[in-house]
Amino acid sequence: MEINDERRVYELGYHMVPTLTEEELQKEVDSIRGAISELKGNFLSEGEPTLIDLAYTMYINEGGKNTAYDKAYFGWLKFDLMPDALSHLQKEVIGDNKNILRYLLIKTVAEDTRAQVNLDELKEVKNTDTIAPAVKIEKSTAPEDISEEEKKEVEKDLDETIDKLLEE
Amino acid sequence: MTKQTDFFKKHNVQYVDYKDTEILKKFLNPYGRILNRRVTGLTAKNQRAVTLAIKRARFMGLIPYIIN
Repeated sequence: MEINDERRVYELGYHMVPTLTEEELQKEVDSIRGAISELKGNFLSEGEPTLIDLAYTMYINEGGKNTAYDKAYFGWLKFDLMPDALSHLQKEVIGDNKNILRYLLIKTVAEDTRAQVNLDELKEVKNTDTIAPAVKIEKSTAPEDISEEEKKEVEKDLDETIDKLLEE
Repeated sequence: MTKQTDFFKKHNVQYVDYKDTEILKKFLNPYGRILNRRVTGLTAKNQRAVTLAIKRARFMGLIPYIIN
């Protein structure tokens, strides 16, 4: 059997129940961090747990009863770890924690995977938005220079040509 | 030369992260279903990455499974 002795990068995303106080939340996060450190994991980056509105209601079985949650503290940890230690982390540390509503443990890369895109640029152009013309239209000075008599002549010529065209 | 239609190549984004929900929402239809590659204009590789990221985000309750 092949023995894998290379460290891998993992990311743990978690939802903590919203009933926790700030102190309890910090304690829970510290306990996870401590467990990872005990398994000789190195932290690469972290997302502070923040209270978010969930896209749908999540249920957790507490003492035979389902409790519904619409909000949760969402945070994440990125770390590298030996693959052998992962199952212990998953079963003993995260799986047994009653305050973790849901978690996601994925293989990832050490680099920052968040997209550095300006989200304002992604917004579609609304109908009400005014869009500047790509080519500048220069004001023609011709109409102002023409005198009244010249204008009348031009109109006369135009009428004549229109009449000719109609006759044809 | 063909026009660059892949969003991630256009914006020089290397990874598709499940936490980037604002970007992922661009690839959902009004009912919350994943748009197909013909519509998204993504490369096959990035389409697979977006699909995986959307499924992860749905599981984590960051984006809904269905929108009524």
